[in-house]
Amino acid sequence: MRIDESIQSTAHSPAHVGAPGRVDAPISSDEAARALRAGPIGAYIVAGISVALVFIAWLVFYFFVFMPRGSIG
Amino acid sequence: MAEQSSDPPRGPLPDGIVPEDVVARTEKRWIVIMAAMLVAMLAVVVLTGITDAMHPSSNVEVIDPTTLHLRGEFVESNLGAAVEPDGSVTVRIIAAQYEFVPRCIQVPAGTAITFRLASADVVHGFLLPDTNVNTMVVPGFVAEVRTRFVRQGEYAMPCHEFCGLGHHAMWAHVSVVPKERFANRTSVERMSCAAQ
Repeated sequence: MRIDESIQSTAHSPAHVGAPGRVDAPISSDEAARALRAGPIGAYIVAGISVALVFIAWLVFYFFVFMPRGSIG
Repeated sequence: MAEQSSDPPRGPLPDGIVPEDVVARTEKRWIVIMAAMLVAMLAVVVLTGITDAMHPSSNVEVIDPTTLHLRGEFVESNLGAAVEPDGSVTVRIIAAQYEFVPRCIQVPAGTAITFRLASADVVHGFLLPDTNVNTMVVPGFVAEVRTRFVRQGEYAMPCHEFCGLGHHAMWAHVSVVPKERFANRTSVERMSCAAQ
């Protein structure tokens, strides 16, 4: 099947994939080790913001949507 | 094709490039954060449940659906809103294919209200949009929901359990009126909108 290259994912391209023997990874092991010495900080920040937003949304819905609708029992 | 680079040779990043102690520390912190969030959410639910008497309505009380109209609290003359000695209001409703009886119920605002419903035939639903009132009405059981209306006005009351071909037309409404207006009339009659 013919694939239009302009709409293909680049996930398979050498610049984005590491494989044994491949010499074109975007960062060397030493550079990566230096960057990750304290852990993947960026990933922590993204995950933290996402979880915080979900938690805040839950509280907002609970106190400003659910509770004003009145108690039931 | 990848361009040839003059940089030092680069290979795939090896596993374990993040130090093990960093991974272990991160996992522990993440577990603590998750546990704290769960505790906070449970605390909110439990505390508001206690302070606002908020909990899922549950009432197990059986009734014979074949004799609802003949005897007991769901006879026609006893349907609608009734004031109890303690000032609270009890509303009795029958759900049947495809109507609620009475079709409109008048209740006072800011007063403890107990809805008691029974089905004469199949499973129906009792829902008041914009409130947390929501229960099934199962034949053979009395559904009971307690609430208190803060906002005056008309609340739609659709059946929200599919009950047959006429289900879409089965709805009624609850009219929440000021306490004084309600009190003026309840001493002599059961309250439904028909008396307006």
